[in-house]
Amino acid sequence: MSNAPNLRIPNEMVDNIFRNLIQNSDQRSLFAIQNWTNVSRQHVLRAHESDAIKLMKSMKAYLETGPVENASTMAEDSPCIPMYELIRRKAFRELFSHVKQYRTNPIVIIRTLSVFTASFDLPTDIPHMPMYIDNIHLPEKSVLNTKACVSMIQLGFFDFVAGVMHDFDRNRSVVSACIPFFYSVTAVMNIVSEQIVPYCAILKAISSQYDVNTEVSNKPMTISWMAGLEN
Amino acid sequence: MDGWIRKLIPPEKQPMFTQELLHAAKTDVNRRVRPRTPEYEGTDFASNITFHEEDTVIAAKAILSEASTSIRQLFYMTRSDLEQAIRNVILWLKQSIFNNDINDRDHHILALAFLSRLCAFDKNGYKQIMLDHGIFEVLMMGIKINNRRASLYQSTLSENMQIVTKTQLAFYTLMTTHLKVPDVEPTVFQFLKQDAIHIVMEILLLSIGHNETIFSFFRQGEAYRPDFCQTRIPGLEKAPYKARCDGVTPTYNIPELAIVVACQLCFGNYPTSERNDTSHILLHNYNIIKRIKFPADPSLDLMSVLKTAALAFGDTDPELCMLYPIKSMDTQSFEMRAASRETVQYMIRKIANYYSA
Repeated sequence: MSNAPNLRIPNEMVDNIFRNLIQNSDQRSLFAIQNWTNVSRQHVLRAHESDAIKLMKSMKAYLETGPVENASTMAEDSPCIPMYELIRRKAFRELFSHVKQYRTNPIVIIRTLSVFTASFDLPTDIPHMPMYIDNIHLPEKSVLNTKACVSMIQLGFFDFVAGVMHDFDRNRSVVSACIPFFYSVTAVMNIVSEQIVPYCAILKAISSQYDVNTEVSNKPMTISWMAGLEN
Repeated sequence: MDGWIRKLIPPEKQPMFTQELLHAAKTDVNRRVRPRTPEYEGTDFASNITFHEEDTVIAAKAILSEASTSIRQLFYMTRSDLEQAIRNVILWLKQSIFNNDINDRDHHILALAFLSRLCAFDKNGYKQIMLDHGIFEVLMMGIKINNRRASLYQSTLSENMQIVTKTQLAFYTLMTTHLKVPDVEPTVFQFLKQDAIHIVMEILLLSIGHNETIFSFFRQGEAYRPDFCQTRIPGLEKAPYKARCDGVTPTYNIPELAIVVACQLCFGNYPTSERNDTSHILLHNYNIIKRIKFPADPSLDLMSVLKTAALAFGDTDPELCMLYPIKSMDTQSFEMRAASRETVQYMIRKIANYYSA
């Protein structure tokens, strides 16, 4: 980067770059670009010291990794919350503390809820969602998703979003972000509830096979279907 | 191991993804035993599990304990956890239900699905909260508005028709969820206060009286469905139940749902041929509905609607008549359809007595 030419970027060039990116992107990237554009366009235009290579690299990194930093469009006091990263790590406590801090900022709220909903794989084609169901049915997500749902309930996410919905009831964008949030969380809860019982039964079977083989040999193995939840 | 698990779990309780769940469980256990270190990088954790090691048992028990704790917390949420969310969603539905914006109606569907799903977690607690905040008023108003929209879109097949059908399905799904209680009469009484029987009768009129309406039995093939596979009754198409059970779409179409709801409003949830002691609320509904007239075609009566519904519920496909067919229907759908068929047949017997008298 140190050898990069110190280019000043005219507005037309920025426009061309964005136009090319948008034309050559799929829908997910397009959403990411639009999101990023809203956040950073003002910064790009003002930051005349930025060079073209740096800009292109940051765009490429952004498209590969997603919106790592998602900030307000208000350039002066933009709260930079790494929402995507926090949600990916399921660090809901940290995310919640950030979002509570910017509770009065509808843009931060909308983006948080949108990123959250997107990370729970709710596609835009609602309400019939084979893609969503396929993705969420992945069993390795079952336990993680259960923990995530429980964390959200314990942290008071439902109450928080309901409060936001009440405070911004005249703001259609906020309400439009709150409803899919509620739906996606309960959808995950619903699917998790279907999977967790058989999952627990399998775990119970794994844990008890040792006892059968070593202590009570030749005893027929009978395991209650709800054994996973009886302990 | 896989066969052993299959024997362990009753067929009706086997999840769709037993293999995947088993793989996930084995992987989780083995990861707990062998933490993520460079020496195990790239290991297939699921295939390397050893069942006879003490570590494996301890790990499985630890995961089981964590999972059980989580699931208990998830299933037994307190009233305060979700009351505000339920109240605000219902309030928003009340405010926006008259809005014609298609985007809003998509959100109506999601909001109604959210409320329906909550009922599955806490059988009666959340239903009571919804009742306290006026969900029945919202339901009846929503169904009424959609009936009017349906009569407007009689001759056009458009995006509007699809969205009206989807929204109506969402309203009816929540309504039937509320009717699934052991003692249905208090709920029926609440619906009666919102003039439910007349609103349901509007759909019965639309279901058979006008073949042009989108809620007609004979137009359901053109209405929204996730998948159209086979036609069994002329003019009436059905998708496999599994395709309908996507978590949002019920296992019924709108006229079928309306018939079942109408029967429930007249006889409760468990009609039997022996039952004669119908309460005055249910009897009131029954007396209203049995005199329904079809102005568009005076030769039709309630019996025509019921017979068409019975035909729709009577599955002729052998796969659909079997219990637990893996590809076509899940257990819950099978039971729901069977119960609905019995309800409709009971209503047919009752109405036949009325017409013959």
